[in-house]
Amino acid sequence: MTAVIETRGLTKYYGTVRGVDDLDLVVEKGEVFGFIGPNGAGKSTTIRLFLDFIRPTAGAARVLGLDTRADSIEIRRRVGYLPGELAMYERMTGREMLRHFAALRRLDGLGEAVEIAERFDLDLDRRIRSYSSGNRQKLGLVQAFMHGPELLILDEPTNSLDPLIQQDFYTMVDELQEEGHTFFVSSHVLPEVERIADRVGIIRRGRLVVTETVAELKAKAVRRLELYFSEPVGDDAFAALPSVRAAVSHDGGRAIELTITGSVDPVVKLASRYEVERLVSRDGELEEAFLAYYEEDGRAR
Amino acid sequence: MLDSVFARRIWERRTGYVWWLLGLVALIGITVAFWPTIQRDTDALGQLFESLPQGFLAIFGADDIETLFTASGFINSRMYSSVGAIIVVFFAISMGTQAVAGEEDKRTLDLLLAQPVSRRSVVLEGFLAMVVMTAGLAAAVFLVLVVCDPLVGLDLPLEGLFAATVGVVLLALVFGSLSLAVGAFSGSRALAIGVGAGATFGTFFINGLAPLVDAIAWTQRLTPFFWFLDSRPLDNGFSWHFLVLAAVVAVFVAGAVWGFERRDVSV
Repeated sequence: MTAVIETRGLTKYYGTVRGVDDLDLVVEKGEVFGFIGPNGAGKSTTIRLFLDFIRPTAGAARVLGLDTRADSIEIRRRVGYLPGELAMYERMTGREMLRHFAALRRLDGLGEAVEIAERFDLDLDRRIRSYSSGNRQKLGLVQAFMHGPELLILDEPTNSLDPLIQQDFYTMVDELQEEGHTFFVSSHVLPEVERIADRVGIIRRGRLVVTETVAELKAKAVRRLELYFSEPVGDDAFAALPSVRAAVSHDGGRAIELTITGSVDPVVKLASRYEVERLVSRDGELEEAFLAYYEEDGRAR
Repeated sequence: MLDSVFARRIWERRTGYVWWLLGLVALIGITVAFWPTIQRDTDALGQLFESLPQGFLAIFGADDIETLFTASGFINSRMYSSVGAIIVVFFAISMGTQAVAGEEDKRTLDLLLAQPVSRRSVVLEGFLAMVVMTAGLAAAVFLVLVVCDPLVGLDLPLEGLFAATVGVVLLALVFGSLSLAVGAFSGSRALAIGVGAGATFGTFFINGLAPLVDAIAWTQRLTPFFWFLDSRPLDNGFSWHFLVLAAVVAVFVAGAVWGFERRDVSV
């Protein structure tokens, strides 16, 4: 396996403000790597270091085997990038902007842009100013994909995409991954990337908390389940189950709130012995679930 | 039309530029139209101007009453040493600001720098677009004057007119590349415009007023206006003085490249 992205002790401080701290990360060729963390954790900072928009305070990063400082232009020739805060040339039409970028990339015509735009059902002949936020995001994706880059660095790609288009996007990522393209995808919520990512790195307050395969992570994921029964049940039996981390009962034992890691199966089996009126499952958003989990575990690593 | 950063800079300005051109052409047209009247009433006007304070005249680019009522002195005072020049300068400042700071302010710089484009070329192509479009404005003035010259009997020397045209472009580029450099260093659009405009007005007044006060007369030599106007290009043609302006532009542009290459681009 070859590393497409490799950082060693990558550190960025803005004055005294922490961006990322001592980041060691390897992304292998052909994998989809999800980079997850709450807003302000340092995701965009890391990505901007890869593209040489900002320069590291310490450490270094190599992208496609090239130095991010010395060989930035070659890196950017071979990388497609979608910014997290997407700003485009408002007075151009979508096609005009793509033509401009295609020319800067010395592509023939518009590269694969037209085909991808059709797939996303995006009208390229309207002014960007008049695009909806979903269409903007589509255009951002089109320009990132248009030159068939070896590596795609996408900062919050499914932001403001409607679910149908998200599916198209996921399918496209799958197809390109099969062709050997590598993805580095950031998000502040896990569900956005768990569908496509092979591995996930969790960043928090500038530090990489953990890197794991999505399968491993799912097994450890924290879910909250609320069970409402027609009769008092009490939480003792549930609290005794191995996957239940915490159980709280309300309403005289009729309502039970559970915090679960791993499989919910034993919980459901137990609950089925009673008359269940209502069942609410919350797949924890990262901030509350995963990070809480790592914090409880004594800040794993 | 959008084949390069240079081409896009021009493309972005295509509508606004027409107004800059029309404004300048209207200004110079009206100015020239007044010439026959002024020529007729030279004596009366001369007496009126004699009675005005020197400083007042200096600010309006009419430092020397002897030459004010010659055709070249008149055009010089109205066009090249006052309003006309300032308009061209401000256009250059707006182009210089846009090249880096403007694009950063609108946040489109991220997407631009995600393409395989060096920061050096972003600066240099922005500068080049500023040169071409500023020269276009000065050329329009040149053309209007050449066309009107025989109609109203200005009898301006062609070489002098050409020199003044090149000179006003160089003058504008000094301030334009100053704004370019400030924007490249700071990423701040407001600062780039502010410094450029402040320097323009500051040096304009110093150039006009410093000679009236012996103690600070030498400061006039610190202003780009001095190096443009002191050799009286409209009468005398080209002068080595222009090389000073060109050198300053080169320093500012090199500084802009250096400053932009070494700093972080803001989010």
